[in-house]
Amino acid sequence: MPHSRPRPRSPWMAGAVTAATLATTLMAAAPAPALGGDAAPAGAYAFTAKLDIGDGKRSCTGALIDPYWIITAAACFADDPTRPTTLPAGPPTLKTTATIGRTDLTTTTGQTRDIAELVPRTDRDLVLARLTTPVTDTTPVAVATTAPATGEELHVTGYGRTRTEWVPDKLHSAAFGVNTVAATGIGITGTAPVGASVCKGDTGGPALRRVGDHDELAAVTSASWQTGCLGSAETTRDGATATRTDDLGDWIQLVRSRPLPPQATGVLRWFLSDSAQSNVSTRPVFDFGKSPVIPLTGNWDGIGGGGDTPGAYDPTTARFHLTNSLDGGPGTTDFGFGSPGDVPVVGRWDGGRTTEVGIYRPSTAEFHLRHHDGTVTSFMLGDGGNWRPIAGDWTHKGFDTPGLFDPDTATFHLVNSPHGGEADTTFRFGDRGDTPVTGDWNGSGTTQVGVYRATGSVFHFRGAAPDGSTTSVSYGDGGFPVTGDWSGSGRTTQGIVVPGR
Amino acid sequence: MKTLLRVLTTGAVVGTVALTGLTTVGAAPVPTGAVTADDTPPPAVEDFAYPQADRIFQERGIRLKSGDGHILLATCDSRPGLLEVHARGMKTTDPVGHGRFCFQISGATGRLSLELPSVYGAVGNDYAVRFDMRTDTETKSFNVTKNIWTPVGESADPQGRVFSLLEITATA
Repeated sequence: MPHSRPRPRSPWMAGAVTAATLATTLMAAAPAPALGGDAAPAGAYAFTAKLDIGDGKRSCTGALIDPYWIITAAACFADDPTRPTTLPAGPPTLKTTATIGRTDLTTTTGQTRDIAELVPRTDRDLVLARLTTPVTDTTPVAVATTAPATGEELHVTGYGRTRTEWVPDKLHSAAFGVNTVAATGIGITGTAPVGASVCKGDTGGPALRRVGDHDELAAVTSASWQTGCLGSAETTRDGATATRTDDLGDWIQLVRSRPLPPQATGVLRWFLSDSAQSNVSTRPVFDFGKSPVIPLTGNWDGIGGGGDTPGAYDPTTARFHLTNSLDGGPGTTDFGFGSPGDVPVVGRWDGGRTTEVGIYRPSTAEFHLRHHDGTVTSFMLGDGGNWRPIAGDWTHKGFDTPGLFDPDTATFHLVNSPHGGEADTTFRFGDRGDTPVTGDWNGSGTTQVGVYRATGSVFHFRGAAPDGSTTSVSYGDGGFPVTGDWSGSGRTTQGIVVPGR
Repeated sequence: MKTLLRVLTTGAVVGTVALTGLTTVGAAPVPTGAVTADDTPPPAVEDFAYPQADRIFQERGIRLKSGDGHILLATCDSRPGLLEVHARGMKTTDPVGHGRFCFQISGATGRLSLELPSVYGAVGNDYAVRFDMRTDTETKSFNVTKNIWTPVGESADPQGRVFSLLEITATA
């Protein structure tokens, strides 16, 4: 792919095109040194997908933008690639396989998935391709919402040809400059290495904008003069075109929500992220529970390495419903605890990995915590009422103890052992009306608090930054905030649970 | 995520807009990207047709068709690991090699379909290489022994019939 095109006066381009020199250019040369370090760094741009269409009939590049969805060029699938907008929606005509997270194709890292469905645009060379099953071990690339600007530098990645290779085994990348910006597309020219080109097999690949320490998708490569690519006879015209995606946010999100059936009234839909910095749902969306249940998360089966999974407490029936999967499967445990009107609180009261249940009774300000052996610890703490119960290992002692958040004063009251009376730690954090959340934001082994603010749907994680300051992320657009360690990584991240209207 | 939730709540509106768009385009399809236009570059979709096969056929008399990209015609030089194919009667049609063709193979497997008449021998490399060949009436496969001269086609045929080479497959 974007690979380096020799300068016009490179020896192999210069002079009379004799049969011998021409033939040489058409054949694999000795393992040519890349002209500018054009192989992508190992493991970088792992969201880039290689697409095999029709078992060796065609090949393209794409990008994972969601565990279920690859964005790529419609030309890759259209009967006539020069007319990409003629591509019909539906399953691809030719069996198509996407390889994701395997930037060195000689390895077995990453995942291979079939494409189940194509959702093309009718106004530009673009298609969303749905995977049969989600890819959860590669972080998708976020789609930028800011239009490309003339003169801007974008990085293009692809599995297409290089100067000497027909089908390379490694992902390549190069920097391109934006020359022109039109309504649905941009013109780009390779800048580093000089003369880099979009070659056959690169179409559909991401043109990326570097924002801070991550990349955002700014456009999707479409067509190219392929100057300098293996087998290309083009010598004069330069550059490539890429399809804009910055204006398609609503369309992309609409398509992304399609694999799920319409959300039934009252059914809770869970949007979970593995990144406390990202506003993208990195996990497949699923449904679990139904209003009026209160969402919970925990490691109910205590499996080591396993992450937190959903639960729900129905305050009208005082029953817990727990599941050990993150795919919306049916509840695996169902039992009563507490009394109607109680508020659930869960934690590792006995240490270890297993999350146990408990309740806080607003009418009496009583905690009732159920242990692994079925015994219950009860004590009074706080004022009851609208005080919200929380739990965590506040002091790295090896087990969780309760706490309370007073939303009227934005004050946390924490205890370091299950006792009544005065709290061991009291401090203010957040604003009046916030919802408390807890978690181990940085993997330290100590639980920190945080708050979720409905205005702007923002999570504030206390002490999450390396210097101990608060980090924030806007995630979702209202709903029940949840936090958990979905992957078993040791770090807690956020989610939002939305009841169907 | 943020947008998603907003879209979900306003799904009906967005759906209507999308439908309108489809109808409009369906009524008046816009042919975009005609390949012949001087100012429109072609799509860079890999089609696995052998790069510049026509020109190579003119220069070397070998018809390279398509493959998986892991077998490429190469200059016969001193680099190690080349697969050599020998064809008879190409002094004029192949002024470069007079019927001696070298291929570089990469990756775990390689496949190349081609048409080269009167192939009578090969020099193997480190890959397990198979030739699919054809006479006027029969298709036959020959295994090329690793790293040594191997008679194939007419040299290995009890009746001395002339074979064309149609496909090379290689496995590491």
